[in-house]
Amino acid sequence: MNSTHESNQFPSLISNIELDGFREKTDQLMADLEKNDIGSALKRINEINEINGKSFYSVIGKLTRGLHDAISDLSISSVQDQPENDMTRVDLNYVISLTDGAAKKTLDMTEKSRASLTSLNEHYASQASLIGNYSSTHTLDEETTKFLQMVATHGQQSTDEISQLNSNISEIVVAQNFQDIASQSITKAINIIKEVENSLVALTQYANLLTKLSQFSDHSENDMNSEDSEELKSNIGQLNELSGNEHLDQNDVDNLLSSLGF
Amino acid sequence: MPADLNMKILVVDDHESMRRIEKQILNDLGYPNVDMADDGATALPMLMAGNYDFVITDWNMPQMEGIDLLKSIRADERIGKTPVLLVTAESKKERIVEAAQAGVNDYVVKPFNADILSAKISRIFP
Repeated sequence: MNSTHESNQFPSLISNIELDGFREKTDQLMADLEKNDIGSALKRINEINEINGKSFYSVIGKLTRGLHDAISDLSISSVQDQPENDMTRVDLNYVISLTDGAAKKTLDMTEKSRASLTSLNEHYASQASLIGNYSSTHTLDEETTKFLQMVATHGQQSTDEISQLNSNISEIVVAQNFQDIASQSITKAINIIKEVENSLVALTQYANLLTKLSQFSDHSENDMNSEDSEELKSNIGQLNELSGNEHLDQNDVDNLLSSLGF
Repeated sequence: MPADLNMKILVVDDHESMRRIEKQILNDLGYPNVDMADDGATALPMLMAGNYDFVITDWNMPQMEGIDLLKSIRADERIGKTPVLLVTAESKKERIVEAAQAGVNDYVVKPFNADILSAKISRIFP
């Protein structure tokens, strides 16, 4: 792995949770409670809740960004742009296409080899038949008889070896079974990863909108200027439109995460 | 009735490699008459027109899955009795039950070798 890969590892979530002001607010809450200032204490509780919400949003966003970058490293959405010699990236689709191509080439070779072996078998059978016919129709001296027997024995040995080669080819063919299973499993894994990413993206959008909406919660509509009011309507609209089934391509996800600050 | 080595077999699988592997295994076992289809939707018209004796089909295919091909075969009077062997990478119980309910003759889990396929054929054609 190179440094690009290392930089794309999932963030350490706990150490990156931003709890700015959390300690300060809790100290203030304690002070308010000691003074029995309930109104002020309730305000602090709301502020602490807001920090919690932002932290949750931050964790989800970082997790989504980490997953998205990891997926980008795997290049599971674009096969065509991948240069053949760029092995610094682990492209699962590329792996599938390579192994599939290798399996097809292997099958091409086994089919051709089988045809050649069948042809060789026929030649030896024909040779054995010719020797048999010649021996039965001619009077042969001892030397010729021995020679023909030797040729026949070699022919039989070759036929046995052809049979063994055919058996070996069968094993090679059966072994290609695993390529098909491997590519199906990788495809399934790709789909699961994409689904997880889409769900996290939707959750990030949801958390972002909830955080924005909570900023309006302390104000009545009368307190808002027209810009705030429009933004509130827009956020509510987006919240209603959010769907976990929405499918985004890798560029959409990248742009969306960047726009949300991740 | 024992399997006739000259029976006409249709292999259905969307993966070219897998189709060819199955065809070669069948040839090895002595069955030379093997045709191939890349999907259930392609296989069905071939079955209607082709007088096939035996179907070996994958389960997961894009247009028409193996289970739907099986149901279509069983629903048609002309080809309804054609023996069907389902091939799949998954051995989930629900799938096996669904296939049995749809009238499959046998079920084989990938990867398989010539001996396993031969045993399945012997069970289907005793």
